[in-house]
Amino acid sequence: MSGQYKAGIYAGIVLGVAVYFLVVWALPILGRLNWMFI
Amino acid sequence: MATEEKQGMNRRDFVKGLAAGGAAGFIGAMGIYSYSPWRKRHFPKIVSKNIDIGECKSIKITNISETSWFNNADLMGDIKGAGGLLVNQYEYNWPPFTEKNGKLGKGSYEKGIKEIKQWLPNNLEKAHEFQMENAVHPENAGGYSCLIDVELLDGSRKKILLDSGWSYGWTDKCFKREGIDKMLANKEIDRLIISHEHFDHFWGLPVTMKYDPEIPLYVPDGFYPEGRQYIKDSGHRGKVTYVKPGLHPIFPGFATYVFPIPIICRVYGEQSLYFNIKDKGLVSVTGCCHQSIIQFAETARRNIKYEKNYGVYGGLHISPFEDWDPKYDDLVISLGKYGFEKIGCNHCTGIVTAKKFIEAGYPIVKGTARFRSKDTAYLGNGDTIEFKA
Repeated sequence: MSGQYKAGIYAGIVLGVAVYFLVVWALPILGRLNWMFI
Repeated sequence: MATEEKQGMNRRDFVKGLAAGGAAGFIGAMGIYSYSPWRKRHFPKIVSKNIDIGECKSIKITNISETSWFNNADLMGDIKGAGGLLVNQYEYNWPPFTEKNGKLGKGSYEKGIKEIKQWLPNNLEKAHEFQMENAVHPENAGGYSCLIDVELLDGSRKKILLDSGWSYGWTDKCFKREGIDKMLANKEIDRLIISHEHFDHFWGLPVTMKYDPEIPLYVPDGFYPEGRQYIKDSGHRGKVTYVKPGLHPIFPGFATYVFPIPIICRVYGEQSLYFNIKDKGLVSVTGCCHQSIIQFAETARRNIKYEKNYGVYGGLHISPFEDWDPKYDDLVISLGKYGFEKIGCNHCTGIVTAKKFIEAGYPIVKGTARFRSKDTAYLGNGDTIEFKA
């Protein structure tokens, strides 16, 4: 396993966790918006 | 050239790692989140209305009859043969609403009552005889009924009859076995509460009327015109309360709750009972629990002021026809979370379910399997259960 691959995994984990929590937190907020007026 | 290839390899390695790490991170976060307390942040907060229904000292329930029918195959065969679960129950040509030589699915309330009205409520033997000769599977009819003897805090007692069975012959026999006939005749029973309009809980009404036609009657508001007419045709002369959906405190420590729900065989609404026992907690009593045991317990939690769940009695409607589906296991598991200290189940709970409860280690009160009840795994006909401090 190359050093670049390992670095990719670490970066990916951080990114994956960040994306998940963004989805969990952001979606309900987005859901509350009235899309008809945007 | 070699450096460019190396850089390309490095970039590819990094992207591959990023993809694998990204997927692992996303799924991992999902897993951690779903087991963390944060998961509840999106749930609406439940604030109980904390309605005080008062307290009583104890209740003793006598199971008059839990055997609503005796053969599952005959009952299901009739329902399927008449057109399925949504067919109006008055059309089956089951007793007591049968015409002469009644054919399955071809009857009606009007045709059935015309044949027997003359004998209600004082000559039920004659009406029963007619049904045995003309109805579809008359021998399969049983009924559900129980007596709840409540002791109030001042030591006085009130008796409540929950449901009035189905077959005139069977219900009368069970009433006599438990002395209900004499209690009714002596006006010892304060009120008759009908849980819902289903044949096995309501159609034996004239048997109660035979002994006490003036008994105050509480039925859910969703009764159909046939059911409302049957109350009159049964010879009832007392007060009828059509209970609206929601909570209805009746006397200290006792309230009913009407769930506005559609039920198979064209029935609407079910009424269940809550008793708050001093120093012990809430006892929930049900006829059939079509609202589901989860909604039954949750409704108490959201509306009534009580210390904890103490007990539950009645049909819990999990496997009434003794079938099993993996999703029923969820109900069994969920019931355990409410912490009931005493469970007296029977009727549409199903024997299979009662055995699952026992396997799960729940505090099931076992029965004696007498008077045509089939198994000791649950409270059978003639068995009693007490809830007291």
